[in-house]
Amino acid sequence: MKKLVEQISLWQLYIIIICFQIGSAALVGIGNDAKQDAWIAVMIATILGVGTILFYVFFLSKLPDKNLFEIFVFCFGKWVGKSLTFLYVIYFFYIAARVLRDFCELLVSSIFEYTPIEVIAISMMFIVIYMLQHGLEVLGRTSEIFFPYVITFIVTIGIAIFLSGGIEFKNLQPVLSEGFGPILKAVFPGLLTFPFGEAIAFTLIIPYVGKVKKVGKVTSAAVLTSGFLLTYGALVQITTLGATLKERANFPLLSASREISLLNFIERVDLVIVFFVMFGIIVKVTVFFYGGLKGLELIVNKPFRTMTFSMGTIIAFLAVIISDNFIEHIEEGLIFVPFYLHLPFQFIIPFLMLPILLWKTRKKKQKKETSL
Amino acid sequence: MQFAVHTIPYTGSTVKNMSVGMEVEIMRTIMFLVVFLFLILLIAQVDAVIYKSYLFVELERITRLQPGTNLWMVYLFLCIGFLFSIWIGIKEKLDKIRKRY
Repeated sequence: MKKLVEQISLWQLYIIIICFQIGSAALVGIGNDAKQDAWIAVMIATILGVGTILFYVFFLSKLPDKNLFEIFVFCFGKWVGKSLTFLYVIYFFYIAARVLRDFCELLVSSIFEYTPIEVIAISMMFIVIYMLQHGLEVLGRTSEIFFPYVITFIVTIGIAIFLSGGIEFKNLQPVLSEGFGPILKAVFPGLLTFPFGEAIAFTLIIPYVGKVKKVGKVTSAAVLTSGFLLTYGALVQITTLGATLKERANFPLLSASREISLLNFIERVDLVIVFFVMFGIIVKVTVFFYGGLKGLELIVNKPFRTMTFSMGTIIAFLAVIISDNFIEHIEEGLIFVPFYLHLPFQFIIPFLMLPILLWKTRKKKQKKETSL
Repeated sequence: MQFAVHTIPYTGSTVKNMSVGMEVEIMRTIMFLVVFLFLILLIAQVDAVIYKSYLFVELERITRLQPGTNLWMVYLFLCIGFLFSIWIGIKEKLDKIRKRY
């Protein structure tokens, strides 16, 4: 099979990670178990998130130029490696469909009230397919263009709510009223797996980064930046809505932004939220979809571009039938997905695999030395 | 057209297979169906866990094309995706044949 050489820069990787992690996390509101201390939970999860991504980078550094799936084949052989890869393909496609559904729900409930969810899912999937058809570099360049707007909008929304008088710092009190218990409950497994553990998808992208040596620093900086932005978002949501209302709201940031009223002129800025969430979601779906396609590329031994459209139709289909309504969708995301999907695929399998990988790479090194 | 000669086991007689060189690359189509099947089963299983129901009950529920809804749109899109996976296989095979001659 002819391999297509794709490369993204460190800056593009940095941007993609930020957009990916902000994506749906900014939309659905995270750390609700910790109530008014959600921002502390997000900060703790950020530190753990840095550890997680460094673990993934360490994992990949053992076999440079090989992605996660190729490492599976290296460690377990062709059949077991490909079977494991197939499970990851299913996981990535399922999460891509879930993220797409998040966005569809946002659009249907905020700006496209009379548009069928099917139309939105199909349209969004066309964008993702088009982007991936042109390769990973297009995703990197698109992110470069939109990143300044995303950051500006996130920061501006908090400032605008503050200037509108919508922020009540009293909502943050009492701090740690029930100790660290609720915070730990919010972090494990909730915040650790979503959004920080989802960085497992980057194990398929990092091998395509130009300067491999600096990847560790760049990815850590990206997770810290996204963690900072998520903490800021959580603070804005809590101070504006209060912990109870934040927990009840389907899209807390959207509800908080409705408080903006500046000079009796700047009002109803929902579209700004929809804009940056839309971009975050496009990046997230694209990264997960790309991960799945890379897995299929390894299994089928055909370029992933020849499967982009057909697999994209499956994602659009699943995004619609994945749940009957938004409540069911969120319920599944809180009860089933973190324990039965996120934890095994993000942590358990890579951790169990690490000793085998270390042993195999050492054996390979010894063999090389003896042959010399 | 290329002919392949196959030997029939135990008899020793040979036959010419005229279809060799025309068979379609079906790996992508198979993967499409397998991925779809596994994902549908996963979604049905998630619903079965959430609603404390049975896998096949949920499978029947989620794949039912309810009248009056817009579900036909995604079903149609899915069918196009399926046909596309077949077409891309045929196209690849034809390209290979063209290159050969």
